[in-house]
Amino acid sequence: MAAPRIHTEATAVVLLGSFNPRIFEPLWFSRHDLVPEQEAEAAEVQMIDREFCRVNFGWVDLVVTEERLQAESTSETVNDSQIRDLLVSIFRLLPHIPVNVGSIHHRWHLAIDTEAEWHGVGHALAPKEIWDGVLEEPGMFDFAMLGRRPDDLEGAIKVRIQPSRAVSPGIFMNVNDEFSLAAADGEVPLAVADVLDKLWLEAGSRAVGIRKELLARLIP
Amino acid sequence: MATAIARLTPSSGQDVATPRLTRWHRKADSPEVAEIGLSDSSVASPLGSHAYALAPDRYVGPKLLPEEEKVDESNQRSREKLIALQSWEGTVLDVEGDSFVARLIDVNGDHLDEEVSLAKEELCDFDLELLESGAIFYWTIGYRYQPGGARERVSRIRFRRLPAWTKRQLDEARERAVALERDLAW
Repeated sequence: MAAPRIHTEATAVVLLGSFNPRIFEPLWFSRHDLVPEQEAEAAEVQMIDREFCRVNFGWVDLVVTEERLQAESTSETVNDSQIRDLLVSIFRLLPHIPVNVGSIHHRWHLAIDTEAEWHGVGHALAPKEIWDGVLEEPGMFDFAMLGRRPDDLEGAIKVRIQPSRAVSPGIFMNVNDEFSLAAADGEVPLAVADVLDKLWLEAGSRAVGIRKELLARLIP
Repeated sequence: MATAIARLTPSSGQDVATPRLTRWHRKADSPEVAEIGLSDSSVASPLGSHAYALAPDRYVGPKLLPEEEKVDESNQRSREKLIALQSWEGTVLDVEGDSFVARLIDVNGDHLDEEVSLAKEELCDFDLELLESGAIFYWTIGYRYQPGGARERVSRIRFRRLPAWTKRQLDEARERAVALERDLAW
């Protein structure tokens, strides 16, 4: 049996806190040397106002609301560390933006060789016996698992698997490295730039390790 | 504790890992990825049901799950895809004439570090400005797939951009250095 093949991959970071979407206009990024002037001028701006901002620099798609910032790689991203560099730079320039929760997502659409193997993934993750007489022809369409973080940060490692819409037969897998930045009473909250910088490579290799190990078990 | 947490979490809609996690989710959105680029897949047919897989038109799941229909097709760039064959992080060691020498680290750790000479013409104009000893860059070689299925081999280099140190950051670093020197016991 052939190992599943990566059809598409992406990395995304989601931060929850309190943001001012109006700040994130392309020229702000070039003024601080975070992107070249040419890229700032060529950026696709869907909207920038008080409540919402969406800017695509080609290699990163940035969406900011008052409560949430999301940066996702695209097909033009050379290395997902570019996402880390951008976010670390933003939060070193604007260290007082309050961020309470962060998550680093590694996402894959994976092509599977045969339908039998593909069904096997669903049967292994969500056995159908318990659904006998409850649903007709039950099938797994969404599966999520949560585990404790292996480090000192508060949060969780979450894995989600669905049938892929991008490739058939195939599955979609998202490994979410979620962490809290909130401080206990009297303590200083963690700086999101420092945590992203420190956690980035570790989260990446953890996600790849989870993907490989899980696939090896699901499709031996 | 971790085992108990996992058992208590039957689906993604019930993130109840710790009291603090529960509080986050009440205060704000969940830190899941909203659909912008490579999205969660809405369901064509479920796994583990041969009947549905063989007759997917019988499955009405997506109609029942409007939240799965959030894929934004307006992002044309995301319809293309780049599958990396190999990625490196490089450090510029020397710049001479039309080329530069760099040390490459395989991002996946599959190969040993190596030193290479690269032509300046590989770089975008705006990255040429950053070319100097010590500069960090990312280099990926892979296949780029067009929406129509055409495939081309691509090599992409981008230099790392970090903002200049602010006066405050420099002052803080200076203060830390002075304190460190003061505390050193010779």
